Amino acid sequence: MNARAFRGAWIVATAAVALAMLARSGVSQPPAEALAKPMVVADIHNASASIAECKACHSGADQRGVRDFVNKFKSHEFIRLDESIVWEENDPHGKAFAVLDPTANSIAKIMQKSLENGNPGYQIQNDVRCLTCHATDMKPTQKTGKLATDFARNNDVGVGCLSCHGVGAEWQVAHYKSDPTGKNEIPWRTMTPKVKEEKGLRNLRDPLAKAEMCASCHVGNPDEGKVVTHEMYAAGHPPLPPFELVSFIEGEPKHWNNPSKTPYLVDLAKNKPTDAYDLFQYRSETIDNYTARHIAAGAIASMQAEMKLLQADAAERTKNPSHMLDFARFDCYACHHDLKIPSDRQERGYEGAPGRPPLKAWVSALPAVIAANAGLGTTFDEKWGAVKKASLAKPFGDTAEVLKASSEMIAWYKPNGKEFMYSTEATTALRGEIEKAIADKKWRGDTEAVMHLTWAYRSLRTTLTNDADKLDPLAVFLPKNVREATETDKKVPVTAGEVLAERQKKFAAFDWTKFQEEFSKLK
Amino acid sequence: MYYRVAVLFVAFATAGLFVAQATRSAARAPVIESAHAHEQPYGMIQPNGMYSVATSCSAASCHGSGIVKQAGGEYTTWMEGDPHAKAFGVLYNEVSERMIKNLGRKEPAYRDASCLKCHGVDEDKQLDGEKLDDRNHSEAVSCDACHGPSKNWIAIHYQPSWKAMSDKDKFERYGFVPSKDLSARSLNCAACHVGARDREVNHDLIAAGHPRLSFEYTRYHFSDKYLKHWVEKVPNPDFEVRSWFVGQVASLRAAVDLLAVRAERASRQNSPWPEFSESSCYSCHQGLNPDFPRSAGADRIRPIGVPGWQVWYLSLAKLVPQASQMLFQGDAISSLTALENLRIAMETTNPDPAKIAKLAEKATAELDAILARFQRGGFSENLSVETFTRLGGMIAESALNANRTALKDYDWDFAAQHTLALTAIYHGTGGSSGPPAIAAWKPALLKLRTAIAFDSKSKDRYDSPKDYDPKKTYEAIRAMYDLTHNAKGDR
Repeated sequence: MNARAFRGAWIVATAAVALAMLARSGVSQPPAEALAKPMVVADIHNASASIAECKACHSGADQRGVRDFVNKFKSHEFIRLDESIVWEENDPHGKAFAVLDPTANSIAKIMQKSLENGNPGYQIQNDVRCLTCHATDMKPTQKTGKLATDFARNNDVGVGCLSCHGVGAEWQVAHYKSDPTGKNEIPWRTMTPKVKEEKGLRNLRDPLAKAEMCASCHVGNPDEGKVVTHEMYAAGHPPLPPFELVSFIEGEPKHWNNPSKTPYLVDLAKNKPTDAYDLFQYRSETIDNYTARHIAAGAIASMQAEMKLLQADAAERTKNPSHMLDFARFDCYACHHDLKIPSDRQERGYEGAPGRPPLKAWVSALPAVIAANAGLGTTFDEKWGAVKKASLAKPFGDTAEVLKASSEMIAWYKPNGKEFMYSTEATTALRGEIEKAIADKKWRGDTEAVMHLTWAYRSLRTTLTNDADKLDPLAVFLPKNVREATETDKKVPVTAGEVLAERQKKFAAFDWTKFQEEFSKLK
Repeated sequence: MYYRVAVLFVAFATAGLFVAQATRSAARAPVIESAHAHEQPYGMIQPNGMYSVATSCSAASCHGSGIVKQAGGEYTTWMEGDPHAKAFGVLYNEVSERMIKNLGRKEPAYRDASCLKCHGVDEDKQLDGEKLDDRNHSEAVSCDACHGPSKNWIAIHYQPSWKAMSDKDKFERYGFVPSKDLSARSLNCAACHVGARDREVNHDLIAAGHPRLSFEYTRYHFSDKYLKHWVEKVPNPDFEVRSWFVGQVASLRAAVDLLAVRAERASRQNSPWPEFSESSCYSCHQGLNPDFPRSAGADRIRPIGVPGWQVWYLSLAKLVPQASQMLFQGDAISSLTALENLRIAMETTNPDPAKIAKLAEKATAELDAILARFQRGGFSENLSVETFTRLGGMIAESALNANRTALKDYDWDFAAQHTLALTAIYHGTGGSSGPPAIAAWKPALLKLRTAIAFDSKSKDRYDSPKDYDPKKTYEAIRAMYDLTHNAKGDR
């Protein structure tokens, strides 16, 4: 689903919610046998967005007759029922708002001090630019002119359930409502994603919709006010690492099961494959590899997200001729590197005039491989070539050309749901292509591109042969994952500054030649 | 089509400039395309001069006696131990080869006109109607490159009538550079070591492999790798401190004028803007360590996330009026307001080139007036230990914030310029065998040098301050501050 359709769905969802609220007085309470106590429906305009409501069922506790409900409808075959606990205890998203507290987080302290300059009342915890990603946006359809009060921002929420699953009130009631006759299964399970979306639930079973949602913060989304500017980076915001969907998901404490581990979905795919795809976007692994499909979706969505940021920035400049493309749109490490001699960049040579910062190399590295693998390589290379040329035409790009080329790059991908299907053979072929790309000399000096490709490669290796641990020696050169869990990390994370300092040090010391030597041994 | 018209226009404009230049070949120096006439120093080498080959100077009875470091052996000394003699040879090395490849140039570096501007004598000038082709370039930065194109004075500069002439006449009538005059001397050094209207090391060149330029007169002059073929008339410590001071102003003037050219060019054609080499190298070329204090803690001197403009040349500019009160008794020098306006305009996210060009012209005029004043004379002589202590104290203080609890600027260039300034005073007064009050600076200066040193421990070479810790610089500067402020009561 593209962004426009997605936005459309939100508008529909809001309308639906409003209608539902009007009609609520007539809606019967959830069945007494399911819930002993009525549940407070999250009001879109006045919701706590607290996970407390969700916890009633998703914490595994036997509250309000949950166990009977579960047994009756076999929910345990479908979901885990410990979602809230996993999220609450270990998920970094839950700390997204808490990290903005200058008294508790050293980075927040630096940022508060840097950004409050000349404005004594300033607080990063009230800054909408921060809240769009660090809190739960209760007015997602309102794209601009947001206020701090539009966000649910309690220390126990951060990026909570509703941030990802959707703030709509209707689905929150509907998704567990049993059939009034009590004979059939829960009606929600037989609704199409489109219908569910109309009721406010985001279709996270579609890898592309999921990737777009994650990328909206982990890369950015200008329409939703999610943009980390160079000013924010300079004030202390950690550099956003390249976004590789599967590796990021692997770094998460999982509150979901992969479909292949979900009996309900496995059976459905076996017995009613059409239903399994139409309702849950699931095909059995041998036909369509879950990991490969997510890698592809993540790469394409990230590329599009970055192109939209570029497009928006370039469009802004056409309004204001003195506006230069933000430094943050370019490869951070094109400038932010120590001046090592001999220099990887000078050895490799430059695509344009030497010394012009290029765009972030990782943005195109993986999509180019995926496009080529899917037979779309020529058009991709053509569009990306134009973006690259426009961005290098002069320092920080020729704005008019950047605007045109980035718009065309965004339009290049038109999802039809079938182009990125990965049989076991196709998955193996993709792994081979990524392996070749990692060794390509053109990425010398582009550590992020090598890292991004290697992360994707590692995930594919896991899914195919489950020997990704063979790549562990490479962690000497590159962070193995975006966030390496440590023992102390299990409950209380090591301070953000320490984790980052370690990571940046390793990143800065990346030695392309040595990495390639090690990598060639592991094939 | 549009492009062709533009090229034609530029070609005409250039031709016009040359004609204009030629008709005022004896015009006053330096050539500045400015609407406002202003007081200017003299002595900067003019374009279109006629050069002689160095062998015209190296006769055994003239400057090629064969005896190093003695009068009569100037050419020999230059050949033996002056790095300028190697300027052409480096154009054959690996770095030059890689640069040409990365820049996509057609000619090798040793034939590339833009390289030869500084690595040889001016490359496209005529001698007796005969084009100086590459036969003379192998001489590197030879006699005429610093002393001025000698066609008009080589035959008369040893005659009694020459000695009777004023420096100004020698330059204005014959093009002979008065290199004993520190303004003229350092302006000519800066033409290559900083850049000039017809020559520059821009970021394209640096990214292709050229080392960055960071000229500070005393660091170059007193290098033990630089064998001098002359003896200074002014003795130390006065000379070193004075040349540091004049060198600061002249380098700054060259940097500002270069910005004026770049901005003016960018305002009318598609040329690199922002020109990254105008910014402090390490404001961008630093690792992204989240613990690095950046602006937090230091005084806010520029908007956050905006690289500092020419921090190298600007670090001590605010001290010029104050320092002149100690080192110079001529006409008073007031604060450099045009320069400060330019800095503020440059340190924004979107500096407008047309506006910058105008501001830079004003700032150049401001600096030119100072250099011209220096040329009229009035430098203080026999400077006292108290003066040096006060000067050192002022330099240390200017590196600190108002409460003296942190550095004013965390930029490495800022720290390095302060270090070099303090070192010039220390070195000029005799170092550890100089007056005790100054010799006592040694431990703090060593600490400062260590704090700004590039990493030499890892086996890889780094040309940037990897892992630079401003806190260590602060401690050393603070020690210098305490030393200079407690030496004779609390100032």
